[in-house]
Amino acid sequence: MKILIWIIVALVIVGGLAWFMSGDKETSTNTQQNSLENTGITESSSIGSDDQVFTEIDNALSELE
Amino acid sequence: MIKRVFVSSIIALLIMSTFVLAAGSSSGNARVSPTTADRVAESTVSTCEDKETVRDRIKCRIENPQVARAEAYDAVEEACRDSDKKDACERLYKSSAYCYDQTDPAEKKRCFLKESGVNINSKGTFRAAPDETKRNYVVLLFYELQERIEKMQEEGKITADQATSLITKIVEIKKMIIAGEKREDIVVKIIDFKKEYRSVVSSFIPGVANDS
Repeated sequence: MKILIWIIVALVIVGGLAWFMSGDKETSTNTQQNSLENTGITESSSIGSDDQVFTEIDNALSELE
Repeated sequence: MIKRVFVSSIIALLIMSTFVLAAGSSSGNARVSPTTADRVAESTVSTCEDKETVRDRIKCRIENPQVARAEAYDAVEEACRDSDKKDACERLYKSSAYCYDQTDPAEKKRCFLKESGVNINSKGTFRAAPDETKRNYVVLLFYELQERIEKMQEEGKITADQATSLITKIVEIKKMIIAGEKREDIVVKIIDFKKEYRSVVSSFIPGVANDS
């Protein structure tokens, strides 16, 4: 019985970890996508955060002749 | 037996809650309350245009928002002053003013691109755009940062002195861009500005500030 309890606890922890990691993976994918979009100035890349504005400025400046 | 299962479940829930808390604070805007709110003294200032330097005028406007609002329509934008492209510069500011009301960052960006004269399609033809339009676009992006700094100051997250210093730097950079100065010279100024911006913003946001 004791073992059963520990199995349940372990399952909950492993499930929680898996859920947590899947969230990170999703964030990572989004970041990767943004970084790909930011390799050039496109309409789809965002300027929501300060870092994105700085990236946009850098990209635009790098295109100056 | 049921009691033990119940206790184990509680322990498991407690462990899980730590993960939830961790996830929440890593992606959220964990901003702390301002430590130093700017104290704007009741002023009798009626104009900021009589100040000699850009820095003094900016500081005056920050400390006297009612004066800044009153002068906003008549005064020439700081970055456009002493420029041989003053009219074009003023036009850019006026035509793009509505973009700053956009709440969606993607829409705002589209608006900046449109008003700066960059004709861009979904594949990204930024490279082919005329140099002047690219410069306009960078000016509008800097103005966006300026708006964010002003907002932070109004909310008491940064001091008037910090905001003055950052906005003065932005104005200097914008003047250089509008004047058509070399990219290398502009980049040096931007690096200096970024350093100060991050330092100021990270003083109220734990870690590196990322959100506006």
